[in-house]
Amino acid sequence: MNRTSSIVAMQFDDSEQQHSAALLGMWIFLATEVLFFGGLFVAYTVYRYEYSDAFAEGSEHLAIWSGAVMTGLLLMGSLLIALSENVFERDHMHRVFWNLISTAVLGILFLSFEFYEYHDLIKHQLFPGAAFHWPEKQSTPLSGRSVEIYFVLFFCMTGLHALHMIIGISLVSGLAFYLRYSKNPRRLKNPLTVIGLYWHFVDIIWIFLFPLFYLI
Amino acid sequence: MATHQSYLSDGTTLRSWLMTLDHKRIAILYMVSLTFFFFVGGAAAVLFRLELITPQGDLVSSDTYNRLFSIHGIIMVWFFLIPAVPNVLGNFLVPLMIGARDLAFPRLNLASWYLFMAGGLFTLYVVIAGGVDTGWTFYTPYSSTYANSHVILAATGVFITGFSSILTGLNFIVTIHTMRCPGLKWFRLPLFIWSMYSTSLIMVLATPILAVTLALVAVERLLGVGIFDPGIGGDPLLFQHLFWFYSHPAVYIMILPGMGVISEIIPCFSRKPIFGYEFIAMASLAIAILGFLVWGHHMFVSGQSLYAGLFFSLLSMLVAVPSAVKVFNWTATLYKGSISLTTPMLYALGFIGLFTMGGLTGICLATLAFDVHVHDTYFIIAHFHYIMVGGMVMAYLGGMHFWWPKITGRMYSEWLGRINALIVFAGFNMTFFPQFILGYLGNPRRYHTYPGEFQVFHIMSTLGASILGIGYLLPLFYLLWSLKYGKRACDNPWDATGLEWATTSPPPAHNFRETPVIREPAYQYETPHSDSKNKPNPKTRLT
Amino acid sequence: MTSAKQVSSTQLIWTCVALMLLLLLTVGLFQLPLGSAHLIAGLSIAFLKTLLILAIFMNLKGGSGVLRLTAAVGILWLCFAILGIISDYTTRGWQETLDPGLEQGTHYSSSDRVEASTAD
Ligand code: HEM
Ligand SMILES: [Cu+2]
Repeated sequence: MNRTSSIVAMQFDDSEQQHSAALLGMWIFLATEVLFFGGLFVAYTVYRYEYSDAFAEGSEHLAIWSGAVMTGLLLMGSLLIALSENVFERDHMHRVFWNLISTAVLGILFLSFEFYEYHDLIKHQLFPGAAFHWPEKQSTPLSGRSVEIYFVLFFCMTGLHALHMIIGISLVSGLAFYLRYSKNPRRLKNPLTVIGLYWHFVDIIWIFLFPLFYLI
Repeated sequence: MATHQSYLSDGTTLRSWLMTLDHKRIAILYMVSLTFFFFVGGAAAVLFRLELITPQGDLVSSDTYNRLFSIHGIIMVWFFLIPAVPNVLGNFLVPLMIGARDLAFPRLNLASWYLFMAGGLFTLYVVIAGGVDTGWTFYTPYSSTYANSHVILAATGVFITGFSSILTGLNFIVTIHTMRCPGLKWFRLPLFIWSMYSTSLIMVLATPILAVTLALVAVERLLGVGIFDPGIGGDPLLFQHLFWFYSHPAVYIMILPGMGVISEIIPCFSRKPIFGYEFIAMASLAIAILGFLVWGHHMFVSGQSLYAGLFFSLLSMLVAVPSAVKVFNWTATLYKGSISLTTPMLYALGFIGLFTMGGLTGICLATLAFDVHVHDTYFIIAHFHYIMVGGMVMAYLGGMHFWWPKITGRMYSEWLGRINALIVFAGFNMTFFPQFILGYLGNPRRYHTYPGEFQVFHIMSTLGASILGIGYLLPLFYLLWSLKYGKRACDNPWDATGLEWATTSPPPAHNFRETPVIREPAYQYETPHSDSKNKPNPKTRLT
Repeated sequence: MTSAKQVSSTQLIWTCVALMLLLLLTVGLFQLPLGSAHLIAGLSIAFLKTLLILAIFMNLKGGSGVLRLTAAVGILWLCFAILGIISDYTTRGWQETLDPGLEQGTHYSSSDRVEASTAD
């Protein structure tokens, strides 16, 4: 690594120390994130155990193909961002820029599918709360309510994921432009790695959400 | 050498404090804000202790009473105890003790303080707007459906502050991993660093669960769906599981840092290397890990399965083992040491006694059959106050007195300090010992009235609390006084080991003139029988 | 430079291909009448995918031991939470007294608390 070109913050001895601190910091943050989503995964486990039939019924309102395509979009984005680190090493800043931009576009596509799905569910009165309507609601005391819980979890978990996507898209596109107009883009190696890790993490969360909500 | 001015004189404007990236200044920011919150939480306690002087409810209504103890708990737990030692002493000492110039992410560190303050403002707003009445535990479905106080606001305050502690923990872990100075191997670290490390692990791994749980309560309240409300399909026990998955580990956030402080004070004032260094270090980690596996002991009588209860009971007994190891090691360090009863040492000795009481009653509570009897009585209150107030607040005060010369460059009145340590000890026991008896006799917690036969214990408790109050106010005055009139402290007034004592008092902005190099284990105190007792340690710790 | 070695581009692309294939496999398996095995299949494939992403995309393969430990700890702690909590739910209502003369413990799970008339 080119030492002269990277500016080391005051508290570090050298860029290597700074790099390992950035990496470790991000991984610890991701561990925190695992547990942040984790509370919801716990709730999912408990309610899936208690209301397995309701979950199966609820999931019939989701389109599997859409979920699959969304997974594909995220995976492509992950590939591009991982590649851009390689390209970065070889100093092709132009390609890094376009890789990042494409990742962000894929992310936006993902969100479009997701929001379309939300829209659809809301239209069918499946958004939990006062407007929730389940035709078979009256048949057994809790059937409607337990399907509602499925949708509570669906909206909470995918919603939290979508929030992470929005943050991720902003970070990735922000970084892309920053790189493009920075006089010394090599300085941005750590941010690139760290943002890449974040994107892959958000990807992994979706990889679990897909079978848990769509494939029941 | 006028160039090496202290961090305190490195800018005096308000802006130079509020925008500082210096870990030492951020520590001071926390110190000031925490002290404020401590007295707000304390004021609530004064009010409900006054109410409890008589068996009838004559000072406040039951509703106000609920709000008082709730805000007391919320502020004391999240705005005082959890951040106390890590964010004040830890922020100040972690880089100094490992010979670094700052924490790994100074900006993040400042951001944590702002998050903390943001959360704090929400909480203060709750106080002004009329309070919250769910208790610090926010149990559902009361909090999510029935309570008509400011639950969401209070939960938001705690939620935000949670991120402050996550970021602090993250910062500490990264710093300890990557920024130790040359020669500072893991098993040469001061035990305070080990305990900060373990605490940080808990902060990072447990706090997010609390955050998401509180968010779910808010969702339930806002949408009116039954996540935790059994009436509409939810499950209140799930809330308790999630809450205690955070909160039991969190009680260790509230004690591990205190243990770290004690491990510094005891060897220094016994003039002996600490006994069983590795055991204390590993005990910290063991507590951090095992502490995650015992949360169910808070749910013995709330409908969890008997088998889960047995399992959690067993593991709770196990978690007491590493705590006991530490107590044995501290006492073994005292044995044949040449003990000087300075102010910090008095607090440390108080800690050992009170923490042991709290820990032993914890084991009693972890016994299923006994817990059924005393669950939700004053016995629980006494148990955790023995640890959190008798332990952690004592440790915090001890640590403040120990490092005050380093932080401020001034000495306080040793005489007042010692008197105050005794006042705190006496006041504490008088407040909380009667509560063990009350609980054992069956007085439930969280009520503003009680049967007349309990009155004598409640009066004792309130009397003790007023003594304790004096013990907390007095340091405020004599420590502030010392800032202006105290004797100037030399670099190492206690003749202690540890890198923080190798730099000036107060330290310069970047801590050390040159990067220190470590050549020997921690706590190389001369044994009392060697004749070089009073000379400065001849082995140079620094080169 | 001691920190992580880069993963080569070809390796990254093949990983992505593998991930896509796994995705197709999940969706394909879901079309079969596997009943409750769907959950197991779905989760195992998700785990495989996660491992690939962790090792290659996130470069834990070339990362230091501390990073791997951090990742493992995150997952392990989530397992603590899930296993601890679900072990309560699954063992409720098991034989709770061995003494035949004593009454069995009663557990109210959320679904049997609600009377038909008050629900909804
Ligand atoms: C030695 C290990 C410990 C054991 C075995 C233990 C055990 C217990 C048990 C079984 C309870 C539940 C009692 C009940 O609600 O019926 C309890 C409550 C409590 N413990 Fe401990 N404990 C230990 C250490 C600690 C420590 C170190 C702290 C704090 C620094 C602490 C703080 C608390 C608090 C705050 C509560 C009450 C929570 C509430 O319901 O508001 N405990 N403990
Ligand atoms: Cu506990």
